[in-house]
Amino acid sequence: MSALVVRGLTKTFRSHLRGGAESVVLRDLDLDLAEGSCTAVTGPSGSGKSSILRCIYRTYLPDTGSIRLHVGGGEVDLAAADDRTVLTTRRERLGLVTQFLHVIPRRSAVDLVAAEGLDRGEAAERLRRLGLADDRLESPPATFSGGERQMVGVAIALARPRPVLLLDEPTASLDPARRDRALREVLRRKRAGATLLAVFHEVPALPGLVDRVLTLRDGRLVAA
Amino acid sequence: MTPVLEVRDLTVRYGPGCPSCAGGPPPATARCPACGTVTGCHRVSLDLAPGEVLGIVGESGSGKSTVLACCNLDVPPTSGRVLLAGDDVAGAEGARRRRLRVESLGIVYQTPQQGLDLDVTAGGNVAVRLLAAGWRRYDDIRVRVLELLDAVELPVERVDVPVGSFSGGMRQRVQLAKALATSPPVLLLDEPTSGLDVSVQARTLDLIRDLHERTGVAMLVVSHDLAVIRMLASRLVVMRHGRVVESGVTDQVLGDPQHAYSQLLVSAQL
Repeated sequence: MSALVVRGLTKTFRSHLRGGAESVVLRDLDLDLAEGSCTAVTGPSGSGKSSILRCIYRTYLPDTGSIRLHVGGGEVDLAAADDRTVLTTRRERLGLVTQFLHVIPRRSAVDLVAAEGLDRGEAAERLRRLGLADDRLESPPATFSGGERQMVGVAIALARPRPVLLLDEPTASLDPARRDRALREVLRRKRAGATLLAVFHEVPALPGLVDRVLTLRDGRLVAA
Repeated sequence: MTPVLEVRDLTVRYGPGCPSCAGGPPPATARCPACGTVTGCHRVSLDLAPGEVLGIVGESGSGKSTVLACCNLDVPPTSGRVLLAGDDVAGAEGARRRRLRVESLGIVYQTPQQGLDLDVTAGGNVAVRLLAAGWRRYDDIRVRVLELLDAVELPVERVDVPVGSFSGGMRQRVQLAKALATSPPVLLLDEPTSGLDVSVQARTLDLIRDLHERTGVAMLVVSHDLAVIRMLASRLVVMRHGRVVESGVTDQVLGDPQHAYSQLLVSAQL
């Protein structure tokens, strides 16, 4: 069964500040994610890989097409859903790990993860597993390095057992040891049944993680 | 679910109006060139579910504060409706208006002088609202005031000090304590952190988030600062020249703005 089915997804950016200049990033794109699978998307920078994830997460508004989510509740078309449905779907069914974490001043790393519904002990344990040093747990990520922030971002996104996870270069800022830790956490979620769509610059070699690799060509996804 | 606050086709005009502006102000201005009538807002609709946070952004004169003033029953609409928990309250007067403002609404103004009496103590400012809500026993009021000051991170030993001697950030926290004193379902915030320096601004925003999480109060936040909206609101509307030009999930409007003005606003962020 497919957890997520994308049909005819087209996304154009129109800049009113540049006289209405248009750029088409995604063109009539189709995608099927089998439940419990992991699909990796690769391609050069600027080719529109992240735009796929952002359209699915509805940070970007698609021009046309449908994005149907079939797991974790009734079917939702994220391309057409109203704002409140988008927010509920994100909270319960659809997670996103980005390269960047919007930090909140004064909130500690543990508090940010615990806010996702974990007790503080469990939140701290998750952060430790990702390799965050003990003396950082109670500090606000505003003071963290890029890599440390990314660990917090991964821990936040994985805290709730959402059935579909979108990962946008989730390990780009991590050192090799911590990259492996983060990928193992992602694999743990896959083994628990989660469906994954991940953008990677370099497809990770961790056995059992990636099932197929697609690449973006002329706004469509094709086998790499 | 019934929204705690709903605004339907809200229009506010200052001036006589004429046939050329009756259908809305001309596209690029809020002032009618024919009769001089200024349109505060034109056919604005929005709603706020229990516990939700909605932001309104726009430049000065866009009408965002007019919408907020109507919600706070300060300004009667020319036409349209304001509903609190499903009841039409636009134009409420006298005892009914006072009761609604105490039981259903709390507000934090941009300038503390609007919401507080600076010659009165912090405790006195908060107690005024409890008295209006019918609290009578001194001990009960005192206990509640101290509890509120503590909740907004004000040192309780300053309870008997006039607010005029407080810093800007502390005054905003007194306004928050006062607004939340009666546990209203709706909190209106009008540029709550403008005029505060950056570190105080961060602390105040964080406190507002905290209070929202602890009390579950629904919030309508007006700000020209997108960072404030990004941090507080899950949905947002963009206003210009009295009209709503775009609305959506906050990170979508800020990440993929559709309207020319929203694009300008986002691109102008530092």
